[in-house]
Amino acid sequence: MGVRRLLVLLAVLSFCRAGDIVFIVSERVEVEKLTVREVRKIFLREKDFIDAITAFPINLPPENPLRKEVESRILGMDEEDLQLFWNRKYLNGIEPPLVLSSQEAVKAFVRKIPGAIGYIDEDLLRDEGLKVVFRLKR
Amino acid sequence: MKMLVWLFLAVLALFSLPSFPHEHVEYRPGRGFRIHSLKMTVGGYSTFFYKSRRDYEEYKLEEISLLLYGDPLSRVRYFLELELHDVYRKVNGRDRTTRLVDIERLYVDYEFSEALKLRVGRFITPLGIWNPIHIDVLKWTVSDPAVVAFFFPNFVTGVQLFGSPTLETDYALFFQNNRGISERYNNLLSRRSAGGEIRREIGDNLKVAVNGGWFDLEGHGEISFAGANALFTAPGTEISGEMMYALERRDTGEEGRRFSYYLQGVRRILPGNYAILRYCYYRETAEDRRNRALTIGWNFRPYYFLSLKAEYQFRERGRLNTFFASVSGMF
Repeated sequence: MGVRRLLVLLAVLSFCRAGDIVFIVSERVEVEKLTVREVRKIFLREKDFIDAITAFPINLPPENPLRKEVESRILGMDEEDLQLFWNRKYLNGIEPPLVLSSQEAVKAFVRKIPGAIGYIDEDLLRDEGLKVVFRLKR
Repeated sequence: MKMLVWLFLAVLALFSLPSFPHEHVEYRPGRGFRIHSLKMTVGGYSTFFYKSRRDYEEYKLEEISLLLYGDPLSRVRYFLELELHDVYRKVNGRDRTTRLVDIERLYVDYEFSEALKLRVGRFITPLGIWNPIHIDVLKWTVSDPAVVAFFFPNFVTGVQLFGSPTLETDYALFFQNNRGISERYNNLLSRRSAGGEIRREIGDNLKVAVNGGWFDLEGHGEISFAGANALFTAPGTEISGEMMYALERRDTGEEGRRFSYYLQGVRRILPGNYAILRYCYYRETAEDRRNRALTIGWNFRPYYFLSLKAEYQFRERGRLNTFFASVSGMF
């Protein structure tokens, strides 16, 4: 019984530790909130502007769990569909979002470039100069 | 032969790009070379095509295309596609190789806002579902439905205005009033045209659109057309349909009507393996022609940049039943 309680406690604790995924922009950008459809279109390069500034979506590496969650829950495509989607974009001159290696790199880039939008684990959001425009509940 | 030497040199130059010491050049299979400092991508695609019916056999290295595009400024994009056609072609055993080069696409975009973007140059006519994805490696089948062949020119050399006035709505308007670039490689010769399409998203999975326009048939008459299309997508599934109606007025005073539609379903049956079923109808009153075709196809994508297709097309007249196959890849 004691072991079971311990496991339940650990499960609850691990659930609590998983923060939401937050989409961040520079606080200099005037937009306060984006809808899930807007975020989806920005990351599929089908919406080019955030509040009259050219949008610059940033991805984490393909194997990153946050990216996998964003792709399935926001973009609504599995990996194979997404590759076919980017085939079409590539042959029409549109590049997929820039990939940065870590969430720290995403924060630094977004803070520096107006129009840049990236996603990170909420627990890493401590910096000044960033603003949450969409939250993906976990 | 001279063309092949140039092409070889171009490909060699492409693959030597990573050796440039001061450039940050990245190559990904099927996505070309990205030269980050120039914000430019260089890549391309190629297709091997095979077609066979009772009294006809054709195989060819259909095209080798080179793409060059970039976004040097935040609101400016450019795009160039050079294509070498019929690199090697045999029809019923006879050599039909041409190796002609043409400019498939050449345009510059400027983005004023989300709702207003401007494109100038030679571009794919922004109508329908099938026409904008005319490249073999992107298509589900080797053969094309009639809606893209007889109702409007596949390419326009002129001006396009496009954009998204709302999150769910896209539009495109195009105009041409001049000679076209690479007129030889267009399905219909026209130097004056105008048209457009408006597309609406309904929910996350469905897009519907209506379109219409007009073009002259350089010295033969003119055609007015209208159409509608719908596309449903879900993971591993795509259902699409298009219909077009056209009224043709010949300079001789004759009038004719054309009507066509297709319905197509695509389903992923195993990873990388897609089954395709398409029904296509075409009717033309001037020549009193009617065609119906049922296409059953298979599209195998072992890698995202490679597509192997095979399909059998049942035609109304059995002697026209046709087998198609192709291998196409992006580099």
